[in-house]
Amino acid sequence: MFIIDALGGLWFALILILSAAFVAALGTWWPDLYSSFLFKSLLAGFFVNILLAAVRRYPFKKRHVGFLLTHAGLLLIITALFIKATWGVQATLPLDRDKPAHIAYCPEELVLEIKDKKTCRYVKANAPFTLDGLEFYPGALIPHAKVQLQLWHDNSKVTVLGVGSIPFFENIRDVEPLKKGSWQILALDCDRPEGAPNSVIFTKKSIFVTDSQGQLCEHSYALDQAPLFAFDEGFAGYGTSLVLPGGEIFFGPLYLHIEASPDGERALFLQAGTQTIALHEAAPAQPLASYLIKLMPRPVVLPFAVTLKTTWLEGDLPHAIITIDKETIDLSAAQGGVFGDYQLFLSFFDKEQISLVVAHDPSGYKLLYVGIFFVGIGVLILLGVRRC
Amino acid sequence: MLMIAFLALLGALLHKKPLYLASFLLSVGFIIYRVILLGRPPVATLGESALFVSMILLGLALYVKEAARLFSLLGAFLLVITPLSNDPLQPVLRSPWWLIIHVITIVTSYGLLLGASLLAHLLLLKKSASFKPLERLLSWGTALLIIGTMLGGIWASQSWGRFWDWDPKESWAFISASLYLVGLHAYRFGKIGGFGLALFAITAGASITFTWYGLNTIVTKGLHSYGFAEAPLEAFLGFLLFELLFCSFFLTKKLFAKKE
Repeated sequence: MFIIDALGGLWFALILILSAAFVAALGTWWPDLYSSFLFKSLLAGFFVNILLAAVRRYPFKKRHVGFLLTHAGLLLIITALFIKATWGVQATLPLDRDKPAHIAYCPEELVLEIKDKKTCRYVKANAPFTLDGLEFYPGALIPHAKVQLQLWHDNSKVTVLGVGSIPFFENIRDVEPLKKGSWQILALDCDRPEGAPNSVIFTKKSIFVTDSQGQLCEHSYALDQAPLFAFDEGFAGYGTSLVLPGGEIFFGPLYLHIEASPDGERALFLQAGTQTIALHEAAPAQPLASYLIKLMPRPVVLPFAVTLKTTWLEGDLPHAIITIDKETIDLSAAQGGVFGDYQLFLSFFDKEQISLVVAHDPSGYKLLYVGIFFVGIGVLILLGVRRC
Repeated sequence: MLMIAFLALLGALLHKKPLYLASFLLSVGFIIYRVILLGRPPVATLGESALFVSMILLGLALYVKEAARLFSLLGAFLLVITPLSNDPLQPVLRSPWWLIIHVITIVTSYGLLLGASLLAHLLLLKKSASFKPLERLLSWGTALLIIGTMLGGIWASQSWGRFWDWDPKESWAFISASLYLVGLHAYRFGKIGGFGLALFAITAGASITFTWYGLNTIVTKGLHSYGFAEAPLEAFLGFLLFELLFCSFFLTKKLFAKKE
């Protein structure tokens, strides 16, 4: 009984609420905190406290109605969010015109795809993993400038406009390249927001940056001035890029070769295209295994394939028509679509490709809506309750 | 808008109910005019939300006589500094139903809670006063904040496929609601008195101000990008400093009074 009183008591509730609020405030600048064990524990503590706070008032009286409804509603909402987070889907599905796709990606969760001839597995990008008795520890993941980009193709150049201005670093060392088709797309980050330009134009050899009046800025770069960095998050291409010892940027699959020397020591080589970089040499060694390593958002296999049929702009409102299992769905930036239990939303739009947000809640949002209803009614009832 | 601000200022100076009523009715009329002009509720940008909050404060001036002057002054101030635009809505906002019920609920709560913060300042300055109006404002403001936030979550699930994702706006709505819930729970169960409730109202009022203004002008990240605007950081920091000094002064004064 003491434990129920303590865990369901007001003081525990107040401490929990204030702690969660404090961590949530810090999360504004450090979003990783929201997925930390500490924050999840606080939210679990909420569930326990809200439940026990109600339970310990049994037998219930008429004056408890508002309180019970509110607490029941909160429990339902927390449960619904837990179900969605654990068993649901919230992923991005890139689509090229007329190419069916059924693999979506969770952009917030990075994984390393490690493939050899027979197997393919995924490990968290920030967690250590083992290959053939060797332990690998993640180094730094260079965060990518997370802006939504709209792209227009114009045969010889790609014009990129951001939602708001695209900021950029003065020092090209901080530029992070991506790959999209045969173009190199550079995503740029900024420490001078007031100097941020409005568009970045890429040609095959150079990058031009313009200001909001369309005037070319002084910061135009030739693509052979490559910065140094390693293992970078890709953006549209979900690729892996690596700077080679000569400064050249390599895009594409990276192969990790592991060789075993007669005394059991392992030799490691990284192969990027035609270049091989020795990570650890041992002499003389025989080939043991080769792995293809790719840094990517966590893939989610959907139970259906989606095909993009056409796109158009209605004024400033993008539209797209997709087909799923012979069903045609019309999507716009203002109106999503539904296929079975899955919701689909247009999140990125281009003439030849789009991205959809695919969402699926196993509880079908029922728990959530009932919970919200209970909270709403409960709160309104509580407004009339006198001070205890 | 300037005329309404002038009337509100005059009302504050002369403390006359007809002036408060006139400025409130005119602000309602101006909002109706904006609805007709834009073809939608005027709640899509920071400036437009300030217009709404101003209307709430001018309405509160009719209800809470003790703080009518303060409410009217702040209402006038918001009207004067509010920039308005006639830009079309971003696609994700083109849902008049949700724009009305979510945003109006939220900005109404902002108005009530900012009003509560103002009233709390006044109650701390006056030695004997009833804290009932403060409790009522806080209760209604918090209720609308929670309900409005939940409605926003439903809108988000219909627009982006997820109810809650710790977007900065969502996070700070949670933080603000948490602070108000802590204060109200502590007051309702007798852990703090009116003085403590007033301090909570001021502290949480700073949080609400950050949620409403700070996120749109200082942090400027997240999916609520349509509310982003440029505004001086120094003004907000100055406001925070003032609130900190104000609360510290009265808390110290209370602690010393207890010792004696």
